[in-house]
Amino acid sequence: MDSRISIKDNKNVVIFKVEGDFDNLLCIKYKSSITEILARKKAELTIFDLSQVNFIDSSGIGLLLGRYKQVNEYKGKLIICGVNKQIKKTLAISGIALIIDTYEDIYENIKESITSYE
Amino acid sequence: MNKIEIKFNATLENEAVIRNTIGLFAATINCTIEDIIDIKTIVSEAVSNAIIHGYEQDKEKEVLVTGILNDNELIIIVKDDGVGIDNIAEAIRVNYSSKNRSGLGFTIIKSLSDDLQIKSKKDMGTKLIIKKILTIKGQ
Repeated sequence: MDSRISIKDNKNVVIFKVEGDFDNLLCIKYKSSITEILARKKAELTIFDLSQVNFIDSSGIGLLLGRYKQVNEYKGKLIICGVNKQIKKTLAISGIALIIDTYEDIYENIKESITSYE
Repeated sequence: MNKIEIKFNATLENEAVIRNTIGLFAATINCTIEDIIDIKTIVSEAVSNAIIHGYEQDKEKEVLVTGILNDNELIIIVKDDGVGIDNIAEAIRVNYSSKNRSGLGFTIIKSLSDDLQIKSKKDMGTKLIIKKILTIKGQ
């Protein structure tokens, strides 16, 4: 499967769906466009959906941390969802799970608890 | 004992190929999926360190990765002849990065492995020797 990131945005929510390997190559390919979209939209809620991610390393974590700081600057919120057991392990080691809200469920299942953003 | 050695150009295009190859090598002793994913993550961090920090992505340079399986013990050696590490203690500190990256590479390798040795000198390259004890499925 080709790794890629697709974007879906509603009024106040931007969802980045990551598929495949969340590694250096993928980050280099998408980092500037993600940064640009967030800077332009300044959405209240930014979601990274990792439900189709097979693999993540420190470059993927670095991208998430960087966007978390960017979103924080304009007082937005960033969450990560669709996190499987192995991805969760890497997020925990890196310490990212302590500062960013992460959910095992896919976005559609946690939507109800965060609908105030839509 | 079983051994595999791969020499490749220092480009990030090769990163996924190498981590998947070493993952498959470990799978020959029927270890768990969790171990294979840990190994892929370890190799990815070590190889990107060699490519990005060691060689500053100079595609002409070469990285050597060796995998050695001894019963359920896997040794991974990642060697470059690049710029080396001036201060190893500083380099392994959490969040330290000389290249504006996350600085989590060594933290992740240390957490997922059973031993990490770093041999490096400024301008003399870097050699990482990583040990991982594998769990055999059904044992």
